[in-house]
Amino acid sequence: MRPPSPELLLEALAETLQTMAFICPEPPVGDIAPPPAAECLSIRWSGPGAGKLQLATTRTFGELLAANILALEPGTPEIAARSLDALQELCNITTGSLLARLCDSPDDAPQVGLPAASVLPDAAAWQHFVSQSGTIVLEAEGYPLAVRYEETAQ
Amino acid sequence: MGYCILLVDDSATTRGLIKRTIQMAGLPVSEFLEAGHGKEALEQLRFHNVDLILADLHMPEMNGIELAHAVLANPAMAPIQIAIISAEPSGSRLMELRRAGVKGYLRKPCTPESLRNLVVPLMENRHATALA
Repeated sequence: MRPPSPELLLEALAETLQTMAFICPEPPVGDIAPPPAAECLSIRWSGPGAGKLQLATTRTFGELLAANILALEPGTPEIAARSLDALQELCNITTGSLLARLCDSPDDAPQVGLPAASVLPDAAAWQHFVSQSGTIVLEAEGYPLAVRYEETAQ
Repeated sequence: MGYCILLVDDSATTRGLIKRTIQMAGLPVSEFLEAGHGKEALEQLRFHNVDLILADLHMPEMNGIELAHAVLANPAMAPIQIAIISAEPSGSRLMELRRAGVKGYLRKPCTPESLRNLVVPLMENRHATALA
């Protein structure tokens, strides 16, 4: 298994967002204002390689994601209830897609865990998240989206 | 005449996504049933005549492999076609799936084309089994 790279992570995230929800993430134009609160999703893998992928964005972006995935009209009550679920699935599929790019064959692939969710409660927590080495910050439909991977010990 | 498909995934959003993608692919489906994990799926199978199960791999209570074992161990349910749709890229799991009798595997994210390529042969298989 090859080590991850920011380019492959971007490819995996873009493919996942476009296929799931017809959303195209882009580099931000100028500085992104830190959101007052954000969701942070993380997922670990182990086996031939070990590591963790983390993704942070606002719950409102999760609502947009859920609405696009399920083709729901804005304002439908179900959208808010599905926001976190949609973000967890985005994290899960992006991780699988990244790992598939790193492996020459399925036999070479690590096993992926379940996504875990936490909250970045304020702008300072967001700033801390995006200031970590290797974090990629993007804009998707006007919402901030930050993603990073970390290789860990087995 | 369409097929009855049981979608098994602990993410309601993913069940909705797969359902919508199958509809976009224009496949002949008469009914979609849903379950959040393998045990719920087995409950659905008690009351409905299902042609095809599309299940996730990682689920609480009962995962996709355990569900496949349970379904194929029951002669009455053995004609049901089972495929896994998962983000999991691991080869050791793919071998386990084949041993469990799973007929197809698709890695998420799936497009209408990839779903069509997975589902059509399984539906033809199911049709042939029903005629035999």
